[in-house]
Amino acid sequence: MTFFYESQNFCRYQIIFAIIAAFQFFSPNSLAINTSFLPEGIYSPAIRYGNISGLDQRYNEKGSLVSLTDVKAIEFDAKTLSKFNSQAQNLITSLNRFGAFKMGDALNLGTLEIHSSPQIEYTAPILAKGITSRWTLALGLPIIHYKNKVSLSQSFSNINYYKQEFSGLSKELDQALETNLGESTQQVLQEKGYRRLEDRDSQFLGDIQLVSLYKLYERADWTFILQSTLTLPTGPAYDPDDLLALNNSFHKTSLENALALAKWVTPSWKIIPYISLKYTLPEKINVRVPEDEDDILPNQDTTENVTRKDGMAYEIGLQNSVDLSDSFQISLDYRLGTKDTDKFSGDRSTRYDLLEKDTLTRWQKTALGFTYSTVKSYFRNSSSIPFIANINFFDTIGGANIERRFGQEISFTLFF
Amino acid sequence: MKNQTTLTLLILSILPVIALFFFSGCAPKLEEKVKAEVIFPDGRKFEDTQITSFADESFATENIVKRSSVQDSLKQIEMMFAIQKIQPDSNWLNKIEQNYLNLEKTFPKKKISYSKSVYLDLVYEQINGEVSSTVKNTDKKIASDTKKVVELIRQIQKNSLNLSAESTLKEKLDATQVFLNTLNSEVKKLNIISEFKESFLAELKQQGQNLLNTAVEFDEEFVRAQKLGDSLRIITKFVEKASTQLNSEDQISLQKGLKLASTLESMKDAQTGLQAIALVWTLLNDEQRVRYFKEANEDLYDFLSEKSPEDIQCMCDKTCKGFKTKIILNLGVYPKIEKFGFQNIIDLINQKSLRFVTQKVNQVAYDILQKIGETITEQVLVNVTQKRNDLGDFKTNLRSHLSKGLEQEFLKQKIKETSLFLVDEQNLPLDLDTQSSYLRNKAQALSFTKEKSRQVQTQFEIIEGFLNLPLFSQSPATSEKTMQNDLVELLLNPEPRQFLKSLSNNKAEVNLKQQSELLMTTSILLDQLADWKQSSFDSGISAIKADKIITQFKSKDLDRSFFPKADLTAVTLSIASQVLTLMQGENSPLVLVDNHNQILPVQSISGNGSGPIALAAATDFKKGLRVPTAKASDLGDFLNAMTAFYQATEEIEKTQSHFLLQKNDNGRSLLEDALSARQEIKLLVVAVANFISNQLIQPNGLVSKSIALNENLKPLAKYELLDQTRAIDSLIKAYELTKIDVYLWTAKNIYYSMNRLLYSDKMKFYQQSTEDEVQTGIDKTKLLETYKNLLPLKPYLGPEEQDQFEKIFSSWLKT
Repeated sequence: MTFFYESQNFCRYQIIFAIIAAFQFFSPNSLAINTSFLPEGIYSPAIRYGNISGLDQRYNEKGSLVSLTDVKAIEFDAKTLSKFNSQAQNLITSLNRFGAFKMGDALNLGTLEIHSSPQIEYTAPILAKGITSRWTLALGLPIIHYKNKVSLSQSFSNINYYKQEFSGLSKELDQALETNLGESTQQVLQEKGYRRLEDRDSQFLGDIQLVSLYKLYERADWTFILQSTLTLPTGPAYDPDDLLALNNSFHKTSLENALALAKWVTPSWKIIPYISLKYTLPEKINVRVPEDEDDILPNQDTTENVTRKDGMAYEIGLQNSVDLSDSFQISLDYRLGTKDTDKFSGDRSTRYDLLEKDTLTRWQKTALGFTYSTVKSYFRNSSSIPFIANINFFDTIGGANIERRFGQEISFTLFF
Repeated sequence: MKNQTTLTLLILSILPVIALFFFSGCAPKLEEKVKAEVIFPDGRKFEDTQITSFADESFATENIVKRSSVQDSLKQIEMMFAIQKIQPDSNWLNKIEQNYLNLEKTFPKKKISYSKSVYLDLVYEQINGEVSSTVKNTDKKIASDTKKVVELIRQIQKNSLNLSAESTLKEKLDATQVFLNTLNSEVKKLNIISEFKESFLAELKQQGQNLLNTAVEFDEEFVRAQKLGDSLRIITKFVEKASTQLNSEDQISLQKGLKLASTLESMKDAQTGLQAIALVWTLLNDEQRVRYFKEANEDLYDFLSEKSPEDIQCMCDKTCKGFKTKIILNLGVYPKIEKFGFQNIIDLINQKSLRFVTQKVNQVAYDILQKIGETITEQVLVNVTQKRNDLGDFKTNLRSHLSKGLEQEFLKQKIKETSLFLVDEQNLPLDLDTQSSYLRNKAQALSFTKEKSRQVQTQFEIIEGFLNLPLFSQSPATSEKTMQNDLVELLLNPEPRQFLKSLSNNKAEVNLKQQSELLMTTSILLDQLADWKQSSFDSGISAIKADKIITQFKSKDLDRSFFPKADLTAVTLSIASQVLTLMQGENSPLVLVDNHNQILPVQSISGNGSGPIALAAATDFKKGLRVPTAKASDLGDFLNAMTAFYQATEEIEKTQSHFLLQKNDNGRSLLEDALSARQEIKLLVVAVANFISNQLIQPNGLVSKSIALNENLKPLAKYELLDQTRAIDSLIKAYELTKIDVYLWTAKNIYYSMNRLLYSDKMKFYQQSTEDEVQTGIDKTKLLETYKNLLPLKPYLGPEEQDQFEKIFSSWLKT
């Protein structure tokens, strides 16, 4: 109702439209399409703070939500072990020499589980300006705080039985049976030139975004909008030596265009269907190219400078918002998207296809937002300053080959 | 405004609830991964077969085949001992004792000559150098100490022995007593060989003090004597008692004095009076004659002084002839003597002669006591010379002294003769296997040998027999060396040695079975001989002290066992060491099998190029070449022997054997080597047990009779009963040593397969092989071995399986 009222009294309440200038400055929720414009010459500084968790869960290629711990878990049975190195193969063969009971083949060092709890907190200062009454530009500088608590555990192993049976026979055998999968994995990673899997806590500048909001057409109860988002690669580049790096999230140069129709169904209820297309420029990155399907940890010498071309992303969505009062608004958003398979190419003609595996992505996202605004009361002179405070809860409720993003975002916007 | 604030707070408070409701409603569900389970290896491949046909006692009695050759008897007793060890039973032990005593009575044995005792040779070898050196040093020290003592005697004599010729005998003796006391206390302070000091002081007491005491006693009697005869008899008694030697002049005087005394006592007429006077005359010199005769009776003096010595002598002997002489005597002398009175003559002579004798005794005592220092010195030197001669003799004939000493000690313990090897009709020792089996039985027979002499004898025979085992080996390299010397050298410096099957067979070869027999013998003997274990040896032969054997001199060093277990441990291990070093040598019967079934020599285990090795096999080594076939039975015996040796050397670190504890030039002791060797033996046990349980086991669950090492480990498809049972026995021992389950599993599976494939309902027992169902009776030796080999498995079977196990054997064992 409030929105409807505002749209009808734009001149008076033009500034109100700015309150939902929800630019997508590092907005992993990438939710609301913006249908609000600042009046010409009006500046609007804002600050957003959000955190995203749930990144330790992922929708697999079949669409099932699985724990990354389960997905990345490796069962170190004899077969797996024998692939590791000749010493492991020798251990299994030697154990098979004890009796005729295939003692080596029955060896199971258990399942190595990598427990990681990635969490992203971001703070994004944004400055928006109404260039004209139809065109609003905004610039956002997201500052990312990336935290990840990592631990490795070993379970379902029958190694204790083997220790009880064979310990004390020889130093070498004792050492082999004393294998701590977690530590061994870390050693293997180090030998292969990877960073250790350990807790992360870092802060960096993400990709800067420049957002243009242009009003293509406007009627009393609807508006047709073009929103273009230019992302610049100011975030951290792809790190082939860090398995915990946010490698596919930053350092992208992309342009996303969205067409949205904001329709006031009633004076207090607005729906905004939209469609968007995102194109990412090809990028040269250093990446380790697996040698085969089983090469889960490519060696350092497989590092190659390849061209990555992210697949085109398409998205459609519907945004609902209801004004509960002059000050309160509630919104519910839903979006459905897909991204084509990423393409890799390089000079060595190696197994780039393995890099492309599981990059065809689909997603369904939803969000619930609450907004408190003093803009109307400011114009009624019942508030001293105009500001908008907003809180959003968002989640990825479906998809394939994509991690779940579950979080909250708080924003605070001023006008002058 | 107030309402708005209230509404704001209300909405803010319900926001999370709404969000939670919203997201929990449409939030996706996390797919739970099916959790893995811990899976353990499974060791059960076969089940036990239910057997229905068991032998009863009459069937068993009819079908048992008893053999009584020496080898069979030994083997049977050994098996019975093994069964007794696992399953103690007093009735069973009585049966063993009967069989053993019967064996000892029935079969001839070679006697041990002490002069050829290897143990005494070893002792001789060990102490000879030490004895020579000790004797040499002692000799030097005695010489030097003698000088000290002699000088001390001289000094004390000079300073303490103040004798006066005029003093009484008692005063002289008192002075001498002071001298002896001083000498005694000063010698005690001397830093000389204690044994020499004690000997000297004992001698001083014996010779000096006793003499002095006798002399004091003599003096007391002598001063009381009133008559010449009494005093002279006291002197004679003293001379006899003190064992002193008078010089010839004094001896003659004493004889004459005694004659005079006798004459005086029997004087009844002038003739005997003259005889006495003549005798006194002869005792005196010219001056004395003037002093005593002229003063008393000048006529008599004139008469006698005119006489020639012959005339005087005839008077003494009452044999004077001649007319003139008789006239003079009858007319001139006799009347005067009668006139003077016989009693007067007697009194006079007694008075004068007593005085004379007293003076003489004083003079003699003075002369003797004045030289007592020299006398003692002389005695010391005599004793020292004797002692040095004895030492020299002991050194030269040490080996012979050892033999005599041991023989005498054994005789004291009622041990007349001892024996070692069993011999054949030509008195030649039987083969090595038989001898080592005999020794093992002897060692175990100590459990029922309670009589002390029998026990000591058996223990000596065990030691001697064991130390003689290397006789069954290659001849000494040089002809100059005797076998005896070579043995001693070998025992002291063990080296790999190829053994002969028997002394009549001079072809040296490495026979795996023999090596196992030797190692097993060592292990069983270590139960008795290891110094860190309590055994019958402690109260038996090892209780015999060295000072019982070496009696030639006394020394604290001899206050130790002549058969110390610490030394016996070392020599026992030296024979084991020969076997073990052979295992590592060029002609080692051992081979290693790598993970690609490549056969590698045992030395390659330390090579850098070798990969992990979990298997080891062993074969004979003949004519410089390794026999390419590994036999299951030999491997089983070898595994058993190694396990037994490993267990026998448990707690070896507690040994007190100086041979094992002393460090070599590299700072390592033999004990440290032994401890390392034990670890390697354990690995070898594992590797051989792996070979049996991995390579010899066939899909039917039985152990193949042999395997061809040169054909990529191709097994022979033949299955014999004893191969199965030996494999079971050795694998159970390996399991008990290592606690590795697969050996127990394998043993059980072999047993189940035996019951399935080898048990004959017709014979109501196991057939000897899968190909040999028809057999005439069950051989007693094989029956015992089968039971002995399977018995260790019994505790690991289920209750019903154990019942069946007992049913298979119970009737057969009663026969």
